[in-house]
This record gives sequence, C-alpha cells and structure tokens, in this order.
Amino acid sequence: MVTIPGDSYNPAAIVIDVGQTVTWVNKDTDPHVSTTVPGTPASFTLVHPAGKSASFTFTKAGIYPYYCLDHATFNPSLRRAVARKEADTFPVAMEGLIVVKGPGLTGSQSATMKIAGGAYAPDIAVVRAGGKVTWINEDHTAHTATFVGAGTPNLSLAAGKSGSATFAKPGVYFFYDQRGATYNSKLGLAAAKKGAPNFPIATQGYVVVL
Amino acid sequence: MIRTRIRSAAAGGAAAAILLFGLSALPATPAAQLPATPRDALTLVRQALAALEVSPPDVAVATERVIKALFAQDTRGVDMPRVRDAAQALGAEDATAAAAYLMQALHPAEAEPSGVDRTLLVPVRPRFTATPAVYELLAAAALLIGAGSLIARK
Amino acid sequence: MTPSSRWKRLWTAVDARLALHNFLYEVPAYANTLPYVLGAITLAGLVILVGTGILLGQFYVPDPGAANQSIRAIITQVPAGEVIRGIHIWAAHLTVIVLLLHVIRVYATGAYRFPREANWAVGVALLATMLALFYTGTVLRWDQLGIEALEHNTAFAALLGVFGGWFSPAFSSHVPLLTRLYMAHVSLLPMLFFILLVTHIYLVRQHGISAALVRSEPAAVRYTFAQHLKKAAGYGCIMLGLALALSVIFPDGEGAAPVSGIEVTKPPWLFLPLYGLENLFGLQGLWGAVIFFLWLLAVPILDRGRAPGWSGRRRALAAGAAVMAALTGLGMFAWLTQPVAHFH
Repeated sequence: MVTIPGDSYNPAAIVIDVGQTVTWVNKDTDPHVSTTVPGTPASFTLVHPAGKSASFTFTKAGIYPYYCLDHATFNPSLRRAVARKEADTFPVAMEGLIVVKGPGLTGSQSATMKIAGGAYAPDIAVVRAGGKVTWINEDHTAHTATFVGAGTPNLSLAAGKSGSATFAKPGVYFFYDQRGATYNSKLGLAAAKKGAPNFPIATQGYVVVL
Repeated sequence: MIRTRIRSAAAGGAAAAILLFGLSALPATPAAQLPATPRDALTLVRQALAALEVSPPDVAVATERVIKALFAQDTRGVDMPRVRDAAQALGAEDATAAAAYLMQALHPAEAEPSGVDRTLLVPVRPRFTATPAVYELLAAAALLIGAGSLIARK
Repeated sequence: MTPSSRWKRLWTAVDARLALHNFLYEVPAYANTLPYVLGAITLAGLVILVGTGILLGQFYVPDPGAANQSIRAIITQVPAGEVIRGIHIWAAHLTVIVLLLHVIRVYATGAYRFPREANWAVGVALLATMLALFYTGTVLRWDQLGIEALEHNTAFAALLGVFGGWFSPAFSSHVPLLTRLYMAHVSLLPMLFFILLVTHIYLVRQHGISAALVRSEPAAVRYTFAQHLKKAAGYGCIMLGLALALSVIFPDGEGAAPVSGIEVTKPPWLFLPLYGLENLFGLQGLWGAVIFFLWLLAVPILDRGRAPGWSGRRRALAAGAAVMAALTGLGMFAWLTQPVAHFH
C-alpha cells in the first residue's frame, strides 16, 4: 500500500511480486493523478480523488517509475520526473517507483552507471544479489554516489574516476549525489540544490538487487 | 446677468441629473457571465484539444483540462482510456500524441448522432506549394505591381 | 477625324452629363507626393476589401454551427476561394497599415488645426470604424482566434455596465452574437464608414489640402485632382498585387472549430497593445482603447498653436512619438508573453 500524505508518495519505492495489487490511499486534500513514465512493461494512469483509494494489479514483471501528472511533468531526454513549481514539495518531484519481481525481470551480475551532464545514466540498475555496480564519472566535476543508512557505500568520484560497490542483500537501494542534492528522509528522495545542473531534477538513482 | 447665468447653470445641472437618472434606469447588463469551467468530460476534452491545436500548443492548459476530465463524473460521449493515454502523453509534453489520443477519445459523428465531426477538429494549414497555378498567380501579382508602379509614377 | 479629337468629343459628351470637370480642380504639387496620397490609397484598399468581401459573403454561413465549415468550403471547394479569401485577409492588413500611416502623416503635419478640427473628428470616427471592421472580421473566422475575439465583445459589454447593453449577447438572446457581428461587418459598419467617408472627403474638398510645412517654389507642371486619383489607383494596384502574392506565399488556413471557455490564442498584431494592457490590468485594461480615442479626439484642443513650419510641430511630435512608443512597447510585451487567460 502506498499513501499520499501530501504532494508525495509514501513509501517512495516498493517491491512486490508479479500478480500483486498496489493500492494508493490519498490522504491529501488535493486530488492527484499517478501515471507511469513512457516505456514501462504496462502503463497505468490512475486518478486519486481526495480521501479515496485506487489500485492497479501488476501482471507483468519489471520496473515501474511513476509520477503525479498534476504536480510534476516528465523530461523525456533525462527520463526523470520534474516537480511543478506549485507543488508543495518543490524541488522534490512527486514520483515513486514500483519494482515487480517475477519472470522477465532478471538482474545482471554487474552493471555500469555513467555520470554525464550532472545525471546518472541509467539511473536505475538491476543486479542479482552479490552483484557489483560500477559508477564512471564522465563529467567535468566531481560527483558522489551516496547511499542512505548505516554501513552503506558512499563513493566519492572525481572527474574521470570510477568506483564500485557490491550488494549482497536483495532490496531497493536509493542513492544520490551529495554534491548537487540533499537527502529528504521524510520523502525518501533527494532535493536538488539551487545551482545544480538540471535543477529542479535531483541527481539520484536506485540500485535494485533481486 | 449673473441671475441668467445661474439660471442656465441650474437648467444644465437639472438636465444632467435627469439624463443620468434616466440612463441608470435602463436595464443593467448582467455582469459578463464568465464561462465557468465545465464539469463534463466531453467539453473538457474538446477544450484540451483546442488548446493543443493552436501554434504553439498550450500544453499547460490542455493538461489542466485533461486532468479535470479524468475526475469528471459525466463521461458520456468520451472514451476514457484514450483520455488516460492522452494524459500520459501530456505529462511527457508530447502534444502531437496527446492531440491524436484526444481525437480518438471523441466518438465520431458517423458512429452516433451526438458525436463530433472529426474533420472540424483538425486545423486546415495550407502550405506554399510550387505548382504551375501558383506561379501563374505570382506572375499576375508581379504584373499588377509593375502596372501599378507605372500608373503611380507619371 | 483624328483619334485625339475623337477622345475629346467623347470626353465632352460624358462631361456634359456627369459634370466630371468638377474633379479637375488644381491640387498643389506636394499634395501628390506619397504621404499626401495615403488617404486615397486607403480608399483603394477598401475597394479591394469590399470587392473580395462581397464574393466571400456569397459562400459564408454566419451561424456558429456552420461558419467554420463554410470557410473550409471556401478554401477547399469554391474555385479561387482560397485566393480571394487570402487577398481579403492580406488587403485588410495592408489597408490598416496604410490608414495608420495616413493618420501619422495628418498628425505630424498638424492638419487637424483650424479650420479642420471637425474633419479630424470625422477621421477619428473613421479609424474607429475601420478597427471595428478588422475586429468583426476576425470574429467571423470562427476558429479559436475568432471565438476568443468574440468573448472580448461580451467583456466590453460588461465593462461598460449600463451602457454596454448593445454589445451583450443578452440584448438579443435569440440571435447568436456571431450573426449580429456578421451583420455589423457587412452592413452596419460599411454604411457608417461610407457616411463618414463622404463627409470626410467633402470637408477635405471644402477646406482644401492643408498647407505644406515647407514652402517650395511653384512646380512647373500643374497637377489636378485627377492625377491624385490616378496615383492612388496605381498604388492600389500595387496593394492588390502585394495582397495576391502574400496570399499565395503565406496562405492563411483555418483553425479547428472553436471551443468556448479557454483562452489559448493572442489577437492579431493590431490589437496586441490592448492585449498587453489586459495582461497588466486585467479586463480594466480595455479602457485603454477608450482613453486612446479620447486623446485622439482631444488633439486639436490640446494643440491649438498656429506656429508655422516643422519647428512649430516639436511638442506635438514629441507627444505623438511618446504615444507610439507606448503602443509599440505594449505590443512587443504582449507578443513575447505566453497567452494569458483574462476571463478566469
């Protein structure tokens, strides 16, 4: 179950099995409209009147990033949700992630994420338990890949350098660039700092470990 | 002399007062009935489509209307799954795809009497095409300009 | 009989019956230069507009449910319909431009001063009528641009309050406002224009052309009014050729059937300054048009000077330049901003 307490989704990322149903409960006084980003295995556009709930059953495994149409737009080149100025949580976009495990969603043993133009590309990596993710900083400035929580990696990547981390336990791991964004623990997402490239899009990403 | 001046001033003042009273007695025009935002999906979809048909397309207004259409209670005459597709396209700022979905969402006039004539939903945008007829017209235009210059010169 | 004497006999016969010699009065040389022929060129443009307009009116349906469709039929089915409509639209733009140049010339040369104050007022009324014709013509397109123009008619009625009855749809609730504006565009306004124009030309004839600001020696050649008309006809031909070329190179299409309740278009260039005022002050900005015309009417009262030559025009020219700068600035501002909803 995902609640909408304000202009955000709580939790920001969840993992379910194929065939399961996700229910959104809108506890906000504003209505919201959740829609998947283009290119997901199945797409949905759900309306959430204030105080009501809506559900969607995921019959296809895969990664489903989604956002609220009323409070964010989608940037097709960066493939990221962009917060609208009127959103209460600006610059954090009202976005979420649903990982549907099942046949069709396979992780690799290793994955590479490039950093260019102040953004991770791709920004979601799917690896198997015990897999390794490598970040290559192809940008001119230094970036980090900072994970949240005790004992999690915090990679500092100077321009042109790379670093990697191994993930033993399955789960969804959020990370962001400490240099260009700050972490908002209540929302589970990063807020871009003013002057960051691509503001208000925060440099953040997920590592999905199956 | 002053008395006549006062008299004519008083007469003028009385006339002005009567005129103003008479005019204000005319039935007052109701304040411009600002069109309220419609609540039925059909009108909202048509408004969103109109916003996308202008150049450049007004994605912000179209998105606002489509979202309202998604929440509308009265969805008669509208194919709601197409409207949802249009909403997704608008989120990605794809005005062309969104307009196509919205047009598909409106039931055509051929299918039911309350439908819309889809040909009227698309603007007519003729372009300059280099055909012989066009060149003839341009030649005629050049001739007119030439003849006019001659007539105006002398 | 020689050919020239044959023409002479024809002329004498026609002149005896139509008294055409009355048009052969002398006109000073400077009055046959382009700045002083602009008024007559406006009239030539009007002839083009009336001619093409009459043709278009044979195929246009002034009902909200059928207007858009009838224009599409004119563009796609009526032979030469697209060209005639194109000439009508482009000639409208060109005629208004020539008219504005004429107004600027009259203002700049101070030709509104005694004894021409009344004729100036008639001219201001003609300008208002021409702008009303341009406005009603824009509504008649009956696409999104047209319906949003129409909504300004209703807004204007609301602004005038008690005096706005005529412009409100409630005045005649059984007749669509589009139909009433069509009637204005093809009948009421042209009639008003014609009456004002006859008065205007009569007064110009009575007062004679205003004095030149720069004295020059009398020209060797003597000009008559016939040359003035001939020049206007020549420029009129040029205007027709330009309108034809523009209609072919930049064909004006037709928008989708209009929907009320949204505002996503901007008006044509002529009304952009007013749109800019609306962006700044909301619907109250429409009063700007009223203030502009009141100022125009007041010009002969504000400037009663009799100082001769261009040096005597300095203050008036400064004021005129300021007004033009304000209008241009508002227009640029309106052109650069996104369409704004003024009614919600």
